[in-house]
Amino acid sequence: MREVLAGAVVEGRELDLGDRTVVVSARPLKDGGTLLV
Amino acid sequence: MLDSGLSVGMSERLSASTNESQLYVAIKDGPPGLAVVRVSTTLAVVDAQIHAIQRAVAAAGLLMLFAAGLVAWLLARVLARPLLRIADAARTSPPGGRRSSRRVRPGAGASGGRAPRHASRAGAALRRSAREREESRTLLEALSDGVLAADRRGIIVSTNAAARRLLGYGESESLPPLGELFTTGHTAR
Repeated sequence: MREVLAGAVVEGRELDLGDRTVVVSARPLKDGGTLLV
Repeated sequence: MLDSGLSVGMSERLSASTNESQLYVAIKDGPPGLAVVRVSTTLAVVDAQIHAIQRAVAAAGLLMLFAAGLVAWLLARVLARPLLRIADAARTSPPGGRRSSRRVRPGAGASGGRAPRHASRAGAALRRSAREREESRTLLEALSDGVLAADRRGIIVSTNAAARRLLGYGESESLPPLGELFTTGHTAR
């Protein structure tokens, strides 16, 4: 998640939610934020 | 006062007999038999001339002062005229708007000015922008994939319904920052 917040492009990353796992792709936004799908 | 070198002395004082200012001149070594010759003349005419000159100078000074004040007032009016026009324009212009300096031709009506056209265009642009935002929002909510946006600090600022459902949060619940939401991660195979 540090990579995502730092502005890295992430594809198909499995992230642990505790009781479940989600596959997330992330793109940095122009204003410094991040968009996650 | 007696000048021994020139043998002539002069003094000015008030005459005791005529009670007016007199110039006394004494000449030593005068004609044989006379030790000192003294003459005196009144200074009334000279004083009158001096006073007249003083009055003329004072009158001229007052006149010059008045003329300078008049010129300064006229100059100030000429210099301040553009500023007064700007101040008038600022007072009469609508708040938050820019008033056109061009005169509207008689009979041109309200459509002759630029301001109404600009306001109409701005209103149309705002309506178009609001419609596009609404369309984007509807599209985002209809997606089956979860979508969320976070700011540079990781605070989640926007989510769609699928994201809230996948993450287990209700419509009115606020989501924690990204760093707390997702604990670990590895690339999917």
